[in-house]
Amino acid sequence: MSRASFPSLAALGNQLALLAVIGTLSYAFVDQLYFGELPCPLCLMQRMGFVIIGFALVLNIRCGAHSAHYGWGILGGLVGMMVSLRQVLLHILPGDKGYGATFLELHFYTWAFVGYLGLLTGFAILLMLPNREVRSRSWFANMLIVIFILLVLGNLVSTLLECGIGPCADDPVRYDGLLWLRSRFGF
Amino acid sequence: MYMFLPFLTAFIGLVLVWFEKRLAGLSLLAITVVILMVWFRFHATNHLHISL
Repeated sequence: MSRASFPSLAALGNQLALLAVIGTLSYAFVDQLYFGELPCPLCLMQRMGFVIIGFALVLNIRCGAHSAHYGWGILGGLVGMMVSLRQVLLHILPGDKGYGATFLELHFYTWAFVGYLGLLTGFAILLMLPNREVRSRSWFANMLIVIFILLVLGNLVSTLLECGIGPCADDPVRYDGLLWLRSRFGF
Repeated sequence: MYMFLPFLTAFIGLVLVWFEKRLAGLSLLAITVVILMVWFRFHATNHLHISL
């Protein structure tokens, strides 16, 4: 097989990191839609942090690796990490049961912190690799990007249905935006 | 606050990146990061009543 058939290590790393972001955002949707747990404002901010990291990876895959892409991705990841740490600290007192369900005995915000840590470490490693041939038009890369864009669109619609254009409830139990639409347009 | 806004800017930016408008996409990525920062600051000070 020719050398051109293989993606470079940096390209593979970018695509695998995007796959990890897609997995995280997808599981958040499974928890929201299947288990019926609505995301709190801090949870939405953590989703946004993952979206920013994914956005930077899409820029790398679509337009070629650039230090500015990694830079903005790291900044977004740091903000997301700060938000998840903030939520961990909110529930750190002994006896506090934490917010929401758990996954493998850890709350989602704790997993988000671990996820940011892993992705930022991944960014550091990707920055050390030669940035040649990161740009990819393979079916796998295109499929990842399309799924990611659809997930971001899904988050946009879900946030609008949950919060409308106002602030989200601290402990949301219903889709306020959807209820407003129903009462306004009667469907 | 408009909590859907960063998702909207990210979505528009991603569509632009799909059509290889790199600078426009990068600008929207930067705007998204700034909105997230402002959003967190607003939420922390006005909503959670904590001091950052």
